[in-house]
Amino acid sequence: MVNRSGLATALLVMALVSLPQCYSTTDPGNLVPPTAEQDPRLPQITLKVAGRSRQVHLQTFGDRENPPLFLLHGSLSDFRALLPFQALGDRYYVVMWDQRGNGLSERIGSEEYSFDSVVEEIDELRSRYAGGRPVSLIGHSFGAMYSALYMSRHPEHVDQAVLVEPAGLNGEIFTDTFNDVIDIDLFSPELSETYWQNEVLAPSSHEAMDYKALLLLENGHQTHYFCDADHPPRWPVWRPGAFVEYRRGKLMGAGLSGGSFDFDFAKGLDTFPRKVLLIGGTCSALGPDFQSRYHVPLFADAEVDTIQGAGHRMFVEKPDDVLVAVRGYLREYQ
Amino acid sequence: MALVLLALGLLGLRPSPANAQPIAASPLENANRAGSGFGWDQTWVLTLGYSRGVDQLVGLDGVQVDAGLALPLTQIPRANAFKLWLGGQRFWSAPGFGLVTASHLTSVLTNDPTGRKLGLGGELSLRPGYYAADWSVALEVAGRLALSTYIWHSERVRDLYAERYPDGSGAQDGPQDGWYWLPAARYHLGVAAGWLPSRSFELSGVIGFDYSPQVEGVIDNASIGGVPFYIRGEGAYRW
Repeated sequence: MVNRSGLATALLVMALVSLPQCYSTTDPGNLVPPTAEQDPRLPQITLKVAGRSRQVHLQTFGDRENPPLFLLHGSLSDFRALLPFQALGDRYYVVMWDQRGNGLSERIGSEEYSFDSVVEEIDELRSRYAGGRPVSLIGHSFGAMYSALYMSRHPEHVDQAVLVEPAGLNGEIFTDTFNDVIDIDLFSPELSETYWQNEVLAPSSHEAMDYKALLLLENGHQTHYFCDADHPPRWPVWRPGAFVEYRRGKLMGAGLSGGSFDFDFAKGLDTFPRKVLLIGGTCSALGPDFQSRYHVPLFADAEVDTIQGAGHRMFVEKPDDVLVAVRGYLREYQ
Repeated sequence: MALVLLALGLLGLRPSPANAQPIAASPLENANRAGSGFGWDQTWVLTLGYSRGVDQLVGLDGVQVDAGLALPLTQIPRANAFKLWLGGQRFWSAPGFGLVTASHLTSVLTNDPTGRKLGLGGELSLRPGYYAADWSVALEVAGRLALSTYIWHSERVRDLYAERYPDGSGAQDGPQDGWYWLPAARYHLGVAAGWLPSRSFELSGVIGFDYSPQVEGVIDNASIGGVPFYIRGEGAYRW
C-alpha cells in the first residue's frame, strides 16, 4: 500500500518533470504568428506614433513615382485580405500595412491607441511614402471609417477615396443601426463555443485574446454580413488584433454589448471637393442600401457601387468585381 | 479514496471556482443525492450530478464526495463540449453558522473552429454562511484553475501562419500543438442558498460575479471577454 506522502511526492515530481514540455500561451508563435519586432524576416518599418516607436508590417507595390494609394484594413484584420489590390500597382504606388496593434505589426498599449493616433499614423506614412502628395485611400469596414476620419481631419491630404462598407460614420448612425448589423445572441452555439473556450484558454494575454478573436471571424451569425451565415467565406488574416478591437470599442463608447456610441468621423466630409465612391455588397447589412441611406448624405458628392451576390467579405467572394468597381472610379484608369 | 483526497489536497494549493459543484443545502449524512441544474456560467450550462455522504467511511462528520457532468446547453446538439468533475465537500460546524469547503478535479473538453482542447484543472470554494436543518444562505468565494490544456490546433489556425513572407512562405512555422501551462483562471464571488421542502427533495441556487484575469483587468467586451456574471438553479433528490 502506497503511503500518502510517497504518493504526493510522486505526483509532485511528475508535475515538475512535465513542466518543461508545456508551452506558454505568451511565447511568440505558439498560438498566433510572431509580430514584426519578433520576426526580422517580415517586411517592416519603424514608425513613431503617439510618442512610441513600433515595428509596422508594411509592403509597397508599384513604382514610387506613381500616385500614392493607401489601403486600410478593417477590424480583426490585416492587409492579407487586401493583397488582391496589389494589382493596382500598375498605375499607383500601393502602400499596404497592418495598422499598429493589428496583424503582424507590433502590439501596442492602450495609451498609444486613440483616434488622434490613427490619424497621426496615416499622416506619418503619407509623409514617408507620398512625399507630401495627397493620397488616394481605399478602406474596408473600419478601415473605411478611418479613411473618412482622415478625410475629415485632413481633406487637403486626400485625393480620392473608396470606402468599402463603412459602418456608421458617427455615433448617432452607429447607435441607431447597431442592432441591424451586430447580433449578440446568447443562445447562439457559436457564441457559446467562444465563451466555453474560457474554461481552458482565457483571454488573459494578448496572444490568447488574438487567438480567441479568430472565433469571432468564424462566427457568421454575430454580424449580418453574409450571404450564407452558416458558411461565411474565410477571411484571410495573419492575426486578428483583439486588443485594438477592444480599445476601439471603448473609445467609441461601447459597453458590454453595444450601448450608446459617441464619436464623429463625418464632421466636415460635406466639404470634400471631389467625388467619393462607396461600395456595398448586396448580402451585407452595410451594403448599398445602408450606404445610400446613411452615408451618401454626408458627402457633397458620393456614389454607391453595388457588388451583387457578395457580403462584407467581397474581396474574397468577388475580388474581380471589386477591382472593376475601384478601377471605374480611380482617375489613373480613366 | 486516499488518492482522491490527496489529489484534492495538492490542487488546494491553488484556489480555483464553482460551476461544477453541487450547491448543497445541508450535509448528506451517508445518504445519496442526485440532481440537475441549469444556469449561466460562461454560457448556458446544464449540469447533472451525484453526491454521496461518506461520514462513516472517512470517519469525519459532514463529508461528501460528488461527481458530475456539465454541458453547454446550446452545444449539446453538436456534442462537442463537456466538463467532468470529481471531488468532495465538507460541512464544518453545521447546523448553525458554519462553512462548506469544496475541492474538485475537473476535465473540460472544447471543440470550436480553432481546434480541440482538453483542459485539466481544479476548483476550490468556500461557503461561509448559516446552515439550518432545512435551509441555508451562504457567501460563495471560489476559484477555478485550468492547470494545463492540451491544444490540437485546427487548420484554420494553421492558416494564420501561411503566406506571411513576400515569397509566400511561412506555413511551416505553424502553431504548437501540445500542453499549455496555466492557460485560464477564474474567480467567483456570490451568494448561494438552499432549501429542503421535504426530506427527499432539495432546491438550491447561486448568483454572483465572475472575474477572470484578463489583459487590462477585465475586458469590457462581451464578444471577447465574456459575461462577468453567473447564476444557477438546481433541483436534487435525496435518498
